[in-house]
Amino acid sequence: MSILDALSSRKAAFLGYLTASTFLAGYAVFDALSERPNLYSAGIKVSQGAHIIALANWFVCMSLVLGKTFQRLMFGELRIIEVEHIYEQSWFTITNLLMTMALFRYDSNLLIFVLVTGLLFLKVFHWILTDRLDFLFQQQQQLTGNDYRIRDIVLSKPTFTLIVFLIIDYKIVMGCIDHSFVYSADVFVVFGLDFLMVYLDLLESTLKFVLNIVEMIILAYQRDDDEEVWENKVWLSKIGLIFISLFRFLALGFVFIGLIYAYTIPVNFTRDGYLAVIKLIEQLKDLIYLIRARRELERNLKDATEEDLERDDLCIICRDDMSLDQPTNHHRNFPKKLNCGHVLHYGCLKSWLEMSHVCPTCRREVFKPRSGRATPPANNEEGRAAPNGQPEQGNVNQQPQQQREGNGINPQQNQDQQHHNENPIPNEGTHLNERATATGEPIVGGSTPTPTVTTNTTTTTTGTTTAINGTNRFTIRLPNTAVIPPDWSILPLRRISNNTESPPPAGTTNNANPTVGNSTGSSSGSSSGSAAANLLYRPLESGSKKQYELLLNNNAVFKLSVVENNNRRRVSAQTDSSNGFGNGSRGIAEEGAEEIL
Amino acid sequence: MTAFTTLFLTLSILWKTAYSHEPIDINTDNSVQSPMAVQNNLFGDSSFLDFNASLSLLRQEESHLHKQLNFPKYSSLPLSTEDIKIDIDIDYYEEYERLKHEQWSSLLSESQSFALQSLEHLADEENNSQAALTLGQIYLFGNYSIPDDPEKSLHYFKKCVSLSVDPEAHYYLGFLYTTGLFGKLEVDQGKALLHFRISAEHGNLKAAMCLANRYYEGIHVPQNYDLASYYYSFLAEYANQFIEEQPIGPVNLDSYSIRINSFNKGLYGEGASESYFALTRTSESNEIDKNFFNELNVDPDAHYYVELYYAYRKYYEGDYLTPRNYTKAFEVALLCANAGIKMPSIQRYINNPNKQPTLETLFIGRCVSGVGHMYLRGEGIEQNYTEALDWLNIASNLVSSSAVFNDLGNIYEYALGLPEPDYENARTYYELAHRKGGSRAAFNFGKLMLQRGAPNESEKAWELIKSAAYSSYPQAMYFYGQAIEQGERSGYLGDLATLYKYFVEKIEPVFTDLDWAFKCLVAGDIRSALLGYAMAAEQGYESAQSSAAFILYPTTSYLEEPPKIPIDRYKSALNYYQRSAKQRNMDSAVFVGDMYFYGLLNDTNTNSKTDVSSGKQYLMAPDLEKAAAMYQEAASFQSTQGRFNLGYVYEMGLGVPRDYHLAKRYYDLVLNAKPEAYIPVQLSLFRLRFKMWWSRLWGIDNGSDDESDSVSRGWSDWLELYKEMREREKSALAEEYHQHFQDDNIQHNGNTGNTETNNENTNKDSSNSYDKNFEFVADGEIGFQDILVTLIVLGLFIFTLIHRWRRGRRNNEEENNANDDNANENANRNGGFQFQFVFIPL
Repeated sequence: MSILDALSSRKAAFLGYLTASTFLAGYAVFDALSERPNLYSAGIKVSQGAHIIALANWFVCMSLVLGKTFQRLMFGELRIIEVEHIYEQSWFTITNLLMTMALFRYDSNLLIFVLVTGLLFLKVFHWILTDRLDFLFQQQQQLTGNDYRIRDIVLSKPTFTLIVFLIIDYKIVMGCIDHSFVYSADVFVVFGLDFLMVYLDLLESTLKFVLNIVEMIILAYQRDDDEEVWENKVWLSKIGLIFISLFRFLALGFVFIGLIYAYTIPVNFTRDGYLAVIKLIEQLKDLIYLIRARRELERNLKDATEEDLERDDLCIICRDDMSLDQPTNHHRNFPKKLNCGHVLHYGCLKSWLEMSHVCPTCRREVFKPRSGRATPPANNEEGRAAPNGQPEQGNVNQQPQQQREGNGINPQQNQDQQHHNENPIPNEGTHLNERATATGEPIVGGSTPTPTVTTNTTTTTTGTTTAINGTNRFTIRLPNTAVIPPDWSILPLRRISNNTESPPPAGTTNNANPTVGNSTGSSSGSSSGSAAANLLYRPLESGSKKQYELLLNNNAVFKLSVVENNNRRRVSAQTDSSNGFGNGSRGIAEEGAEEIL
Repeated sequence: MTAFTTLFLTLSILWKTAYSHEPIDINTDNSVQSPMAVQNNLFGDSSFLDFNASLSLLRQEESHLHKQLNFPKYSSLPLSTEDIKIDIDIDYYEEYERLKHEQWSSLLSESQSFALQSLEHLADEENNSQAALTLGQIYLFGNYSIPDDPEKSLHYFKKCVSLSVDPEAHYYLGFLYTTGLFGKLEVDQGKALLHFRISAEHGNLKAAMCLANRYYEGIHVPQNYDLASYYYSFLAEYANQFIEEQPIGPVNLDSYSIRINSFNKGLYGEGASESYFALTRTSESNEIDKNFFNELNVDPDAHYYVELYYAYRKYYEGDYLTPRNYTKAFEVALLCANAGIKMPSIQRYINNPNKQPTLETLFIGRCVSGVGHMYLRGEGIEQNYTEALDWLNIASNLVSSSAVFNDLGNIYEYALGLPEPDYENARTYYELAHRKGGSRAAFNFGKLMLQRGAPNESEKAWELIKSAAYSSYPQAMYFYGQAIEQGERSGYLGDLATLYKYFVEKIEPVFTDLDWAFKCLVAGDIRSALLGYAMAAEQGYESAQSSAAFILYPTTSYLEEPPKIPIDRYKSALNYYQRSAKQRNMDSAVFVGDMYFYGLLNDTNTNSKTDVSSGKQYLMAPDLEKAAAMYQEAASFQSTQGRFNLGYVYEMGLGVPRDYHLAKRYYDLVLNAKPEAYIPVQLSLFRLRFKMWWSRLWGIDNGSDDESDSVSRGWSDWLELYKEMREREKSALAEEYHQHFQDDNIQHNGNTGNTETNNENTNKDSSNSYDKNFEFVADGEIGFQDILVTLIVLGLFIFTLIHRWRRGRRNNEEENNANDDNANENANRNGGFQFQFVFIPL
């Protein structure tokens, strides 16, 4: 597919190639038919010399066209990230397929060709499908909860494609098994295993998908203010995944050992085998950890005290206020204190621990208590320990964490940013507006945006103040190479350096109900989440949702999603490529920042 | 050939228009040229020409007539066999043939007509049997470029026979009655048999051979091996006589027994045809074999003696178009040999033959042996046994080839130029020759052993002779046949007839006019070529049968229409293809099936009724059952195309009940036997699978018991599969091993000197010993290898795991350290900056 996209950019060239190939293949067939007395003989003629080259070329051509058509039918236009995924994964897949072909170089060419092509395209489609399913949830999660969105998901095109693929995969795998029993064992065993791997991957996606849907349904029908997460989901998904991994491991082992004993070392499965084992081990470890976490959570958690809450009453995960005023101390919203001293909602903490083993704020192991740091003063100590000498403020916790997430600024930038701190569009002081979060009232000004266009940062000062009042403010840390897409713009308010916070301008402090908060991206637990986003937010009117993508210079994608969930809003930022944070020019982002939506 | 049908109509139109004006000119022309005497003689009955005068007149006038005929397109023979292009008319329109004939007849000059009239007068009125025979031949073959006339031909042959018993005329009558000249005459097999018999009894070899073949194959007579071997043994005497007239040594036979479809690489083209043998006596077969020299990394052009050797071979062997030229061959070989042996390196080599042979020694040695051979046989030079012995002795020092040793053995055995035979020496040389292989050596060695060896060696001697006979060494065939005939050796029913049949067919110059047929074919006179091939076909030549059939009904390409020919020609073609198929020509067998399968469509031009009925009108309706039976027969000969077609008819249910599973089995068989046919077979299999799926979908019964679809597979099945996977590789390995072992064995046997005779035993031995050996391999080495491979893989795997784990731990530690001590540095590792921004929903 990646080749395809490269080709489709040169559509005319590809069309020319297609026509030439078709003509050549047609001529090859015509030549054979006009020389040989029957189809059998012509078929033999066609499988010799130049004819077969022309035909093979045509088949490659046609399979590209066919693949593209199927892709259009099933998925429509591909997103950049999906293309990116295909690029990433196709390399070793193609290498693997080449090795498979080498394994069967003596067998019938046509069958192997068809199997290889089919496998390749099936794999590509599965990658796209997996991405699509993720995307579907990301999109749908931003809707306010009601039945409509569930139906929307279930009746969507990706779901349909998923079902189709489930059936197709099942048929193919079963067909291969049948064939390996009846006809030539080896070809179909090897390809059957390949198809089985694809099928199992799809089953994993399906499992996640189904669990997500079930969760949504449960949440929709058991409408309970406190129930934000379906507790059993994590168990089901972990165990289910382990079963799938186990099955994969067994199937691989069966074929692998069988083939080794048959004097063929299945090189093409070494990677799969290795990954299967690693995956299984990781999943088992995760499960064990989860069990331990559940068991030891109580022991490692203390109820938060009023003191703790005075210092920081904002849950870093859900960005909600914490209060001791809950029915029980096992209620979701009851604040709990970790060994490192950070306070979080009980429920948030539990769901966090499903994904990660460390404190979301300071990244300490939750279950490795260190005696010296188990108390609140340790927190302060840590804050001071940071070389930048961060001021001890209410939101001090998230600052070092941001740095640790790999996006700290270098001294040069520090200066720049300090220079920019004189920017006349400042952020509201965080300490001023803490209480406003709890109110959760929509802001009237938000619904009447002012489309203001400015050419540079300095001129926006007065022009955008009103707009700012009525909208959400975000702090986002962008890589140097960020390019703002043309269809959206960023209104720069303030730049944050490591240790300075510019004072809020007088105009904004007077504004009604401005809320200020900081949030780490909810996705920071995932491996790719190397970017954090700070945001200033006030609740918008319901129904609004947005997802943005930033295309970085080096093709990495920077996702920013605003999710509204039970009147809380999360903004998460995420890059999809580890190399998204290179040392590109700073100027692009700064220029981009001048634009205003 | 393919373009010919398209050209055909235009050609005929051109021909008509071109000739509509010409006859006047020609007549005037002729009248000028014709002798006045002839003109005068036209008016008097009594003044007909006599036999010789009319023949000379015809001969004289032929070239003039020939010039005016641009049809048939007589062309001069091409110089090289590579230039041979054969155009055969695909279609045959009687109307067109008639027009052509008319036109041709009108071209005859008055003197020619007069000569013919004279001959006819001689035959009819004066009962001159010679004139009748000549006229019959003229009208049959179109001699002297006179247009053929089957009716008249039959008439004059009959006339000839009525006048006297003429074996030749009887033979021609038999031929005319049995073929009916492909629709021009009445077919009467009874009369044909009668005429053949009379002709054979009066010593006509061709007729005897036709009869022998009839009894051998059971064509229009009950099969009778006794009668067949009677006639064949009669013919074998003549064949042997021919051999004995030749000088000592192998018979130089100029074989013209080819299949016309060989020019197309077989009836079905390259790769698809299964009964295809290359044209053996082509120009390039005597040219330098480039591949051979490429393998040696030697440029043959840089070696003078190599060129000389090949020039000598070219002259000596000749090819289809160039006759052998012994004189030239001798000159070249002598030049090569004389110059060669004067070379110091050759002299050194002769004196000290332990040295490594070089290209020079090899080719000069061959030249020297050639000179010796020709002295021995008196080819190109007067026979001189002492010279021959000298040269052959030198040659034997230079090269150790079978030919040299055979020649030397012959000299000693028959005391050629020697006072008395030296059987010891002869035996030594024959044994040496036999080690080099070849049926001539086997025969010579066997014969000498039988006649001069110890009594207990006779069995071995007979084995050698038998092997030489079955590898078609003519003398051995006759010798062994004689032995069977005289009861010295036992043979099965038909063995003698078979042996003699192939022997007689091998000595084709005695019995056939295949060379004439070939020259007609190459010159473009397809009609005469057809006659020649048909005559040989009646005599039982398989190649001639398929050639005649090919001329009558050639294969057309898939995109072309099948040949449009009259039903009689079609039937003749079918007949010849069938006879060829009966002699194990698999392509012919398949093609007979195809002919039955498609039938013969009626040509719409000749019958207006077809326009009314929209359906096709057949001259011969397709007979699917017969077609399927033919495919079955071809398939039973291991013909892959026969299997493919059989699979097709089973798939479609044509002539046989539809049976998808049987069809699939046949397709799979093709794929196994001929992997290069994967495109047609896989496409068919794909179509078949789709059909099976479709019929299962709709619950249509497809003719045979369906395999149950939902087989529940237990653990034992998986174990079976696992074993099967292993077995496959094992068997592949075993096969390889077997092959290897067999090669070894053959090599070994070759050294001890009984390759051919002990082949069967060798096979048995090797299969036995391979079984034993294989057990050993399976028990010992496999286990060790298994363990080794498994250990290596596991070791690698564990190593990677540990490595990964350790790296992960190190990373964790680093991270922890960094967290504690050096957070800022860590944070600064990646560049980046923050800014705040606002979303303004629109």
